[in-house]
Amino acid sequence: MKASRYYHAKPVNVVNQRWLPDGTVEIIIYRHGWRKSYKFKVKGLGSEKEEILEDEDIKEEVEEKREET
Amino acid sequence: MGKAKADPRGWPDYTYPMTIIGQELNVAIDIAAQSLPTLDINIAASAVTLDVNIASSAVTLNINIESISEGVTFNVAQSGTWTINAVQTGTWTVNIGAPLDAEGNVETSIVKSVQLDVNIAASAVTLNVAIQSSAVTLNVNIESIGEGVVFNVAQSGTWTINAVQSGDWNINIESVSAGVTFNVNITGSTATLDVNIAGQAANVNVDIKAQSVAIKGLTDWAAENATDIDVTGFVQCDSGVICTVVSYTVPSGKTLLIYNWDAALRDGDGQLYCSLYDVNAAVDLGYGGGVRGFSAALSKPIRVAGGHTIRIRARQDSGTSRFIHGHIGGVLL
Repeated sequence: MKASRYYHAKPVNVVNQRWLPDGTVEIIIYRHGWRKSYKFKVKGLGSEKEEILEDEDIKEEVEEKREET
Repeated sequence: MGKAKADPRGWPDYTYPMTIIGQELNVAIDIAAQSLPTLDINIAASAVTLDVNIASSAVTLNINIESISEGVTFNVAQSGTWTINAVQTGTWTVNIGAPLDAEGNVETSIVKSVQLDVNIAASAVTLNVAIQSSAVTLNVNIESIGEGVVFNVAQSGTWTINAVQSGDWNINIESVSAGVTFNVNITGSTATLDVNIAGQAANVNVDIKAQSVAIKGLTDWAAENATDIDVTGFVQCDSGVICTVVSYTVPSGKTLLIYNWDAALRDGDGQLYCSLYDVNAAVDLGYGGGVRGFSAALSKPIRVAGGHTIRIRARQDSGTSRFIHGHIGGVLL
């Protein structure tokens, strides 16, 4: 699952946002139990014209187990 | 009458049809035959004592009753102790066929004081007590127990206690010198323990003294179970301009409860003003500010519905561009 999709659909525990001068936002998300955090970049965060610019794939065993259940 | 001897005269065996109607008769019956097809004893008197004394140690008394048309009545009126010693090996079976009375029920009345001991030593015994009547009262009064009572429930399925009786239901634990532990252990991962108090005048008194284990609130529980959330963000913001520092959209189906939020200037002092803004509802939910920053721990959480976007919007008036950092902390339910 892409980090941006996960961010919008599921609960996470930590979100770090870096708002850049060009209006884009780098977002790092983390959930307890994950090995690492995951990053994606978005333009127009929180607006109807939100556009995903960069997106990492989340590969976590703990998340796969949660998906199965 | 003297003591009878076995076949004292050695006479041949005969069949004697005999009916005794007399007032007082002493009759000695000497039966030495090896086979006795039918022995009918008809006693018509109203006050008869029939003593059967078997003194021999090697007597077998078989009573086989077959094809009874009117039933067998066993009336026990003697006082004292009645004992059945079941020392025979093998199987003891009591078969009660139907119908036993007009309704097909077995009726047993225990009057006054009775001690009924049921001792089951076998390791695999099933004792079924099925009470189907709607008007049965089952009183279990246990007094003077030396070793306590253990009620072990190991059967799978559903156990239900329906307390439909009016009045008070009490669990009273009193005067126990060694202390009492009342455990409610729920090991299921998805257990729900609902305590619903609908009464408008209900009081819940919790008096815990010398508590060694903490009672956890929602935020503690959420952090322990990974349903807490901390959203941080930072942005470089020119002086006098409103900037978004943090923006978070609550996932659909979830509710965000905000317990604290804070913001600060990273590079130096300056007047800072912030608002907590619900984009969808287009309302401010809280304000904060200070010379370098502020931190607000809320005594009442701010609720944000699923699908709504919450933001920290900030303005700094330092006269130069500054980095503003912000944070929202809460619980996702």
